[in-house]
Amino acid sequence: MTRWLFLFGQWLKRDLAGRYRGSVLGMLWPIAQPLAQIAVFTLIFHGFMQVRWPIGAGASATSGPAGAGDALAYGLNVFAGLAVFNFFAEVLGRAPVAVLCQPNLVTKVRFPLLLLPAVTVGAALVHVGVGAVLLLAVGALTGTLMVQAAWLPLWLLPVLLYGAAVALTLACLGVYLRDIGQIMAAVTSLLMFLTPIFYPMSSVPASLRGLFELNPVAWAADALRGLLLEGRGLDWTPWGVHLAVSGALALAAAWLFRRLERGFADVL
Amino acid sequence: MSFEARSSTATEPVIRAQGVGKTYRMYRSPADRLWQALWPWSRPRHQDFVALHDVSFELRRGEVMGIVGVNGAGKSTLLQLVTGTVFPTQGTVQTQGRVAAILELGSGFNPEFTGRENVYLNAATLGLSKTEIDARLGEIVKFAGIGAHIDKPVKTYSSGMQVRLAFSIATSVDPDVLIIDEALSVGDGAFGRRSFDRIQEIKARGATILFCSHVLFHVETFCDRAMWLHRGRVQRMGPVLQVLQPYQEFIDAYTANPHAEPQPAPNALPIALPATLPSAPQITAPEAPLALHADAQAATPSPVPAAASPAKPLGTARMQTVKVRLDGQEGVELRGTSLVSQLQVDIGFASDPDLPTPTAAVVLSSESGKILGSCGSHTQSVVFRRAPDGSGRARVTIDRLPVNKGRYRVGAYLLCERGFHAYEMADPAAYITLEHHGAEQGTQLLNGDWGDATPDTGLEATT
Repeated sequence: MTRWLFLFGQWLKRDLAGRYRGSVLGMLWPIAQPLAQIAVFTLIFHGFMQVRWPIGAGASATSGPAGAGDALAYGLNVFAGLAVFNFFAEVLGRAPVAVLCQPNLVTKVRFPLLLLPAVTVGAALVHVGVGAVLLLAVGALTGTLMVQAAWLPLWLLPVLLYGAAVALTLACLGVYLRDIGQIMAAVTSLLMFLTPIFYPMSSVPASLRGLFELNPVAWAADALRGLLLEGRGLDWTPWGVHLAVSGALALAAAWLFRRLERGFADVL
Repeated sequence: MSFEARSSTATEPVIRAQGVGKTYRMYRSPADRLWQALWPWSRPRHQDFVALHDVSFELRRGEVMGIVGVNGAGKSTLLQLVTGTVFPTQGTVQTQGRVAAILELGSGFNPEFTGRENVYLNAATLGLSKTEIDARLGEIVKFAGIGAHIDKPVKTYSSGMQVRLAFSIATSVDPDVLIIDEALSVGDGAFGRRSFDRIQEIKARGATILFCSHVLFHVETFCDRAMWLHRGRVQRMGPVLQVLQPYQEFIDAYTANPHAEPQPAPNALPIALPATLPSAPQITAPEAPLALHADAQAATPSPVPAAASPAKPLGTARMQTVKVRLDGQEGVELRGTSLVSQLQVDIGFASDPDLPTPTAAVVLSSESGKILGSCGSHTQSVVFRRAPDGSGRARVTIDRLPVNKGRYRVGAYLLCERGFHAYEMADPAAYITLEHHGAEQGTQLLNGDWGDATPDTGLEATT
């Protein structure tokens, strides 16, 4: 088990450091990138298009510092939604090539290939973790951090399981079908607007709300805002349902991966 | 399927392949393949390609088997089956202990990472734990000769350094089963020699080794047994010489005619060679012994040590002069007469005085590169005299060349003391063209004397 963790750590390090090593900002990129995104989105949607985040969209009215706080609230809400979306977008974008790009590990050595999609999820988790820490830090600085943030690990559980399910499925299908990568690029851009990132869940018409709540990314974004920005606790029923569904999907995906794994070397 | 007699663990095979076959399914599209993998019971959408058919063998601790065969014979498939990356369609392959493969050296390196980081990543991938890597790191770095560069990014390494580091990692795994695919001549002369020693060491430690090479004299020196694969089937298997001799004959025929088929039965008759020299178009047989020359040419102009070592090579040896003489006349394009001319080759060499004295060999081959004959000093147990700085001059003399008329290539080789690893070679060092007035057939002339079988009864021979 420790050997697996060590191996996982080595590949995770390779995956993360390999992307940023040699660049000027280095490991600052995982922080700089989302910050740049918030700045641009806040400027465009809030500044240019005058979109306002409905204060108190959730339960308690947390109207931070007035005035400038309006822009900050919009920025933070977008950031929270974006952090969740980026996690899934990264998994969707990188999982299809997780195995495909390592033909040597498939054909030359005996390697636990299941580790490769796991590393994809791990790397995406690091990025979402950086975002969460940023949000916590801002909350602590502005004094808006609430005790509900302690539920974060429980919130993470179904999110991780969904990520794993998606990564495992795409990684093994991606070996056979190279179209998967293209399809996922299209899915990701649709997902961006079908997920309440730039708008709160409460602005979705009630008739469509049920449909939106089926989208795990939407649920995760809304729940994260509740925990970190609005002082809402976890709503246990949807959480339980998502946990059960994500767990079942992850198991099914692992089964599929193991089934298709035996044929990888024949394809690559 | 098998009835296992429970034998004692000491003699239990480390690799056991029973009736192993691998059929690749060729699909029109990857989607068809996916569909078939998901619904095996749907109607077949593929054509079969049999890569390997009914291979059975057992290897115990410390046994070394060489695998030979032309391209597409199924060697790689067999190695992959034993490595466990490819699953057999029929039969079973069982291995015990840690399996390591030396192939595609260095392809797994991340250029932005330091050597040290790559050691950890690669060794972990090959199955070592952190404590094991910690313990072996010093030795890995030392063997690769990387020194202080270990903390610099791999992209700053020369390709030789990368290959050395990769080889050092791969062989530090201390495997129970080692799979070697054409990786033996790595790096420059000095490292090439040490890599041979390293593999000998792993062999001596009791690892079971599968060795795949086109360089037949490597297989011959290194392996106890050999397997000749042809079109996915075992053509011969057994003691190394009993396999390599018929294989060499087949390769010779194959060089001249790529459609040649191996002789089916054991006790194969010698394959009839064309009477005249193979003036056939220059068929660079994909896997003829030419591989040896290719290696050498890649290794010879090694730029790194050349600048540093004018006379005394460290950890290696090199040829300094090669002089070919036919009947006392020196040159690179020489003429002579079959069964009369004398061939003499002088090889001046420099060597590391701390290494055992190198051995030398000359090889006579046809213009297309087919080896016709050779003569090595190792076989004759000759040890050349060396000056204290390790230099010396070796000479071989071959009288009354027993070779038919034609143009031949003379190659000179400088080898390690076991006659195994070639430090350097010059092939061709010269061409010789021989005249012969007779109409004898074949490349070799038998150096015999004809006379009467009956005793002399005083009768005059009627001329």
